[in-house]
Amino acid sequence: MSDDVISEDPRDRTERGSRTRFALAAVLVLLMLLLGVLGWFIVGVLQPAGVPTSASLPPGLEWVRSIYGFGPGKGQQFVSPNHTAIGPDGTIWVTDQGASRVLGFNPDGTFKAQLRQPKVMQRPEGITVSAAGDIYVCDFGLGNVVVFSPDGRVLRWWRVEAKDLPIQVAVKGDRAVVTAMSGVYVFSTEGKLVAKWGSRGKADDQLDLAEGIVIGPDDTLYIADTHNAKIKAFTMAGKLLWVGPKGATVAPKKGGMSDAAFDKSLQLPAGMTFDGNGRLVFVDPFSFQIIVLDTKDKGSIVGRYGDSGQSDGHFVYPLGISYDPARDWFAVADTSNLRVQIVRIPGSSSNALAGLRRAASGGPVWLCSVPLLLLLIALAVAFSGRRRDERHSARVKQAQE
Amino acid sequence: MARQADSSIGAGGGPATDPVARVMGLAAFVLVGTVLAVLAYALWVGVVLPKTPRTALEMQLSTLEQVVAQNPRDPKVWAQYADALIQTKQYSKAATVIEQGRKALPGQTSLLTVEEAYMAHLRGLNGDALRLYDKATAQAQAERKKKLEELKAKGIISAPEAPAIISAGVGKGDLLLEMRRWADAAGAYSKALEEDPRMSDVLVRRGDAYLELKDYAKARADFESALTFIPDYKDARAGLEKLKAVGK
Repeated sequence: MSDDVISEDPRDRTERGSRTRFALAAVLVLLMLLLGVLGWFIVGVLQPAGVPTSASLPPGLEWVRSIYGFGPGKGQQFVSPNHTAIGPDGTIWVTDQGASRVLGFNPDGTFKAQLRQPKVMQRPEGITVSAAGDIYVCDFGLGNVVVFSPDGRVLRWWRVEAKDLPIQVAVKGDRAVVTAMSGVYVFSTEGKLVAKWGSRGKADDQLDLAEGIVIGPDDTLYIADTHNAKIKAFTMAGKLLWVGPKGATVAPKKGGMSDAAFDKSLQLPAGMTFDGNGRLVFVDPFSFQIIVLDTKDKGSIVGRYGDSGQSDGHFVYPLGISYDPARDWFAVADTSNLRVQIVRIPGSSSNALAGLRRAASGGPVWLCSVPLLLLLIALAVAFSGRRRDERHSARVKQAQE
Repeated sequence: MARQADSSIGAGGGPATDPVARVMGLAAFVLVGTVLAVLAYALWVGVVLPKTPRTALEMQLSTLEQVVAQNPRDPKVWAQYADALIQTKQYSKAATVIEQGRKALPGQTSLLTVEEAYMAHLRGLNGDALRLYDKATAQAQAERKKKLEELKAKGIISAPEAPAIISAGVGKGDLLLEMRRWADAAGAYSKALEEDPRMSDVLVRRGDAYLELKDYAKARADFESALTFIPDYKDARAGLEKLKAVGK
């Protein structure tokens, strides 16, 4: 019996093996097709209705998603999203002033947390997140700066001077710099006043409702002097370094501005941030745009992105902006559209990994990658198997001879 | 020697002993696992029911759903809701909403018929769409007549608006323009313009239809008319450029 098996023609066995492999390959291809169809279906369901096409977006702007709130009910949607800040873990924190709360969202847009502390926070305005993840909020109602832990506990809070109201805050190292109605306060992160300088007015070294502030790598303070339509750079001690943007003109009382003059000027600069390439990026609610400034060239405008409108990728009076270097995207508080938009602009990242991630998340590449990889492995195995079979057949033939 | 050579392929060369077949079987197993994992993920994240609007259009749909619930006697709101659903290609839900609207608003269904026609247009059912646009126009005329009589009975002399006549005219014109039936398209746009002659975009589209019909004088009149309402209207200027290009 055993001899019968051994004496079976090797060519028959090879043929039977090939048939088995062919059947298995067919099953594999069918399974891959099934996975592809399933992936396509899920992408279709996951894809929100009415995603803007690149043709419908303002030039250069890439839309990632819009966040309207954390549920369909009225109390679950934004009332007036004013400013945003992105934590080290990518959490997007938004001050929703009209509802006296701060809302947190995961990078995928799902709801994470709601911070409400009516005793110390009634009209949250400016917001920032420290390197440790603590959330600093300016309360424009009670005049407090409130610090929350990443899990939403109030760690500490303090008042700026009596009768003054804080607008925006920036934190670096052990310093928390706060813009307020009457000037700029420099606090320790524990709330101890270190210095106060500036005053309210129209002069170059004065400020009028500064809605944006960031601290540069060399500790230079960049401030959006909102009502004076200027961007100003100061030292931490309050010495004025420059006033931008370079070449800006003030809008005449009568008549309009030329397009060239408009492109060099600001209307109402507000929330600001740094991008991955160290460029100063801020929003101008009256231009309905994200504007990019080169700080090395004393504040010359190097890019403008966006347009007015209610559709995705457009803004109506955006007040706040923050940047996520890991994902190379901006969270814009699109205030009058009652939403936060996650968008990208060109040249914002120097991080190759972020660029790769951006390219991969730009389409369904990540979904196709698994079946594609498996297909390549299957082809490689089939090819090497064929080569081995040929060698084996040659050996058998040689042995028979 | 032959026995030794055969041992590498195994008895019968079946999948149990063939290394290539084993790898392929393993790959099939991994694929099945992946399919199941993807399914589990889809169920886990609840892909079917997103909890909150994610785009402006989804937000609009959510708002309109609430507005319809608050004002179920307003035909414009029903039509806007159906239109938003059609734009998101939710045809079956749009059809349901149109039916619900018809039940809620007997005698005021012309705007909903326009939406039904628009849906047929987008689905490529051109014959149905044309028939429904005509039906909507007839319904709108009947609704206006009834309204006029009601107003007359109250002693009010006024011409009630009939937005469905405009929507049906423009929709039908757009479809006929796609079908390259230039004369019919111009006729449909004319019906809409009789109701409101200040619609610059419709004037330009009718101008385009006249241009195709080589009726250059009428085309020029439409483009220039559009520019009187919107002086820098790009499409109207483009129409005049086209006329210039053909020497007219």
